[in-house]
Amino acid sequence: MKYNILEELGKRMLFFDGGMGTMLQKKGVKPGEITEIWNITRPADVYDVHCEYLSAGADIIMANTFGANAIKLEGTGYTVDEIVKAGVANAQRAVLDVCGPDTDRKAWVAMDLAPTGKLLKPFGTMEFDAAYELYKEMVIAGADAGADIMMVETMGDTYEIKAAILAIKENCDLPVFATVTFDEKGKLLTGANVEAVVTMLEGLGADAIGINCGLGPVQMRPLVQQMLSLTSLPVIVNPNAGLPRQEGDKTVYDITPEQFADVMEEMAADGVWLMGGCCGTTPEYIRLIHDRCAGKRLKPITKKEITRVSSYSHAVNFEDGHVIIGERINPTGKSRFKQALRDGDIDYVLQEGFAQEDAGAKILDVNVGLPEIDEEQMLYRVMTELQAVIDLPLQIDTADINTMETALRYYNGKAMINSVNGKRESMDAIFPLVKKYGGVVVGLTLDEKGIPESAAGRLEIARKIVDAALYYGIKKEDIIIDVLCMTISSDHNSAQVTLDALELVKKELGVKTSLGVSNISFGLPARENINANFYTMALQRGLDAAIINPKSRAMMTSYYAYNALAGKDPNCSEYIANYADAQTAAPAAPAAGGESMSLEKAVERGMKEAAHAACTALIASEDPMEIINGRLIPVLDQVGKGFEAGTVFLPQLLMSAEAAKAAFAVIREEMLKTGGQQEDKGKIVIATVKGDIHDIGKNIVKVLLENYGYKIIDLGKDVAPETIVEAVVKEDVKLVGLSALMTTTVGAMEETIKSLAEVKPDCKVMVGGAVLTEQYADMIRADKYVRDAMASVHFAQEVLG
Amino acid sequence: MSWLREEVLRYAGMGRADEKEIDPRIIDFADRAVEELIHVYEPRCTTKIFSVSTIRGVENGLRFGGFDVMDVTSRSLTVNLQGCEEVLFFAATLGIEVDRLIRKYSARDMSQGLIMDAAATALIESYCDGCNYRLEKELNKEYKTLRPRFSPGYGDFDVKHQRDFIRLLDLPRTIGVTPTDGGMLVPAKSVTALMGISRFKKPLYGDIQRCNIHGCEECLKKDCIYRRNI
Repeated sequence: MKYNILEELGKRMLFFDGGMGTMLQKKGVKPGEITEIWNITRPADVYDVHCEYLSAGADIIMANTFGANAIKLEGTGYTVDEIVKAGVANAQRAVLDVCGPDTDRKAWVAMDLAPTGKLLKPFGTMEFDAAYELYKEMVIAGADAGADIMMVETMGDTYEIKAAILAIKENCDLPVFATVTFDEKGKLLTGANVEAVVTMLEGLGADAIGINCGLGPVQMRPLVQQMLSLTSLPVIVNPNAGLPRQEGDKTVYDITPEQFADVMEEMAADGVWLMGGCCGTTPEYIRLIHDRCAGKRLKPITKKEITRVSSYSHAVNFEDGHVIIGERINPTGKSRFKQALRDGDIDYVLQEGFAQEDAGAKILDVNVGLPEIDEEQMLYRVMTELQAVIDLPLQIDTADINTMETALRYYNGKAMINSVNGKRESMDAIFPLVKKYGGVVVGLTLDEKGIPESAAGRLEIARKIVDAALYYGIKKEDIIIDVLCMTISSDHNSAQVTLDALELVKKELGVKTSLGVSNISFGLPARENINANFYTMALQRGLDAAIINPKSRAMMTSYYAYNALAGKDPNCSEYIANYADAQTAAPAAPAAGGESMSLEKAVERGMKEAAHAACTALIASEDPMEIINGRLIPVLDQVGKGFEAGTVFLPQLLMSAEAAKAAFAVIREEMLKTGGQQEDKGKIVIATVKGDIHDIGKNIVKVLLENYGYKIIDLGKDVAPETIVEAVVKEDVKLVGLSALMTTTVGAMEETIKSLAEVKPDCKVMVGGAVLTEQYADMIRADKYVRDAMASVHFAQEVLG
Repeated sequence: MSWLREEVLRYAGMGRADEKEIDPRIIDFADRAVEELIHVYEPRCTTKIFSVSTIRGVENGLRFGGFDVMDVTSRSLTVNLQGCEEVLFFAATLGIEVDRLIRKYSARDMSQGLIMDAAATALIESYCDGCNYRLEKELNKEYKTLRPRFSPGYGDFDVKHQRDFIRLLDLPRTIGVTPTDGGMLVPAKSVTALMGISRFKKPLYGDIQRCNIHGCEECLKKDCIYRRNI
């Protein structure tokens, strides 16, 4: 009797119901009331609404389970299981009564899953796993109750959508529909555009996608058209009844059922396959769109076959031109980078990200594999920190399969995956992950027998990889082949073989290609010469993506010059934008005024580049410790005193601190080279306490303390007491700095201090933050109240020397 | 120059500095910060009007929107809403891209992060003022005016009532503002406040009838480094 909705998709226009909240308000829901509870307290009212929509022609009705998650229901006396099951049952009863066994009519019940109401990390405080668990509980109850479809709707955050879809896919076999809410500019609340949403949802394996809520049909239509042009999936449209307006305590919407139906009819012609309504729409709206659109022939979907990856905000597609993948986030051969990974110095890694973004990278490769660190944990950390501040899609680069799975699970968007190869073992491990989480995977043309010496041999492996991927249900456009390059220093033909293979793979298999270009010159002097020219040759043969160092002027020159020469840079505008200054730039001139600035002066004035330059000049002749103790610390002290006296203000203090930091970077680099040890002044753990997400103050303190030589273990914001205690015990830390902004979070501070006193009584605690005072600090038994960043330096000196 | 420059510098802790003596790089960045924020921000606000009455037998008890909607006990709010029958609930935000931009600058250079944060604070205040101005202009037509914004956490108006704003204005859905476990709002540059609606008898000619006094000057913490020029 039951008929899978997927069988019906595409055969005829399918109709959703309209607003549930709107209808329940008419039945007396109070402002702020949790309407899902009506599933149990007033089931007849909910049932009535379902019946009305079914009578109006809806094929799919959504159970009243929108916000029936454990957070929203907390304190109501009802469990998620009860509310969800009652909600699904009300809808099923309505289907049975209206469409009954005696008629031919079919209708489906969709379990409704909406946003959790909390924002996920890194900006909110909810963990991805916690969101997953909330959805999982709902999904299990809904599937158990016999829902026909899992419908994720009104979503505003790609990361939350990912949690919801994984919860569905891992806990039931039902079809997954997902609709999101855009604003008029076509952005989700957390910034994703239409292409980013389409890319991620297709990757995750949704069965139909679309747009609902937020806008009326008029504003929604251009976005729907855009979505239709990008996706190969059926598209759903559930708009509001226009834009909302406040009339007293009521929300009213500005268009009539007729106007609504007019636009919906146009969208049916555009290619929409499923339609209904959201806020403000009533059975009248649904009846009218049903009348107008039920008989319409559906516009067939064309397969788009576009290679695309995405971040939380946008997608990068490989059809619109060559894509540069930045290779610098990788410890291979970089001692400073290795040191940063060992120290957990994520800031350093982020700077590599910023620099490559500035230099023109469109995707960043992320590799943090180092034998002595926990790669899985480190990659997760680096990836989430990068995604907090850089909107470029990432290429996950690891040889460890568990690390790969973790990264793909927690990546926000559709990642690029580096890599799979022609070995059976590799394909059997990687392809299921690509299928499950979505991704564009780089396939290397090597297998059990090694790397073939001929282009034809590499083509054969590429073919094997593509065939295996198809077998796993991965689309061809989600595979990029890297035909590998070997150094020409050991085989003078290797560049030609690579280029031939590249062309062959493109022609024969129709897939996109990528290369790690710099291998070509291994073992040769002045490698950039070879790399840059080889890069141009590969571009000429149609290379779609390259993993290069975008900070290399020579490589980027190849790129811009090639585009200009190949007619891919209209009016040479990109080339001009990047090189217009080149002819006037004189060879590196000394600082203005002809004389270079002293290190002390540069720090005092807060000039980063000048400080860096001055320190680089000094380091050749002066002992690093002498520079620190004889120059940097005295000037930092002097600026600090000015700050305390009120003659230097906070932004200036920080500019000096940043300038000093630039000088310290030079010293650290030197010490790594010479193997010298920086004086160990002791470790300090700093954190913004649980529940608190404002970390500006803590970050200011961090910059200053670092300059005074302390090793800072920065645990971030919203940090649980047990995490702080754990770090303090593990690293045997003698001083902790805690920050809290609000009275509500000072409780968490007190709790942290209490746990620390029990476990590690020799550890001192200093506290600061907007609401804190001397008395407050005493009350919660902190050792010291620090009113500003300089005060924290003084206390650190007192405790640690 | 940015119209917000003075406010940005004040929030950055330079309120007492002589503008002529401020490093021009700081001033430039303050202006640039405002520009960049305006480029990425998605300001949104939402409002709802509720009735307000006292609760019999509860000292300083206030009831909004009738039984079982929202009850508050607060002396300062009771004083603030004296004589009002209606209250406008208001919430506004600059959106999450602003949090991202602040974080990005903080990771690159803390002095710029600080100024970016200050600029965002100035911007949300200015945005709220703009929203309130428009709302007040509407209300003026009905001979009504708005009292100053009063937020949870002011005086003895318990900050836990933030949750009521989230619930009553359906903030996650309407403007994308969500609570943290600690009762803070995300995006960070978000405001919730209520404003008493009072009536006046005669329409006044001229721009707008208001009884607003800016909050900062009213505060008793005279030594605050963020205090507006006295």
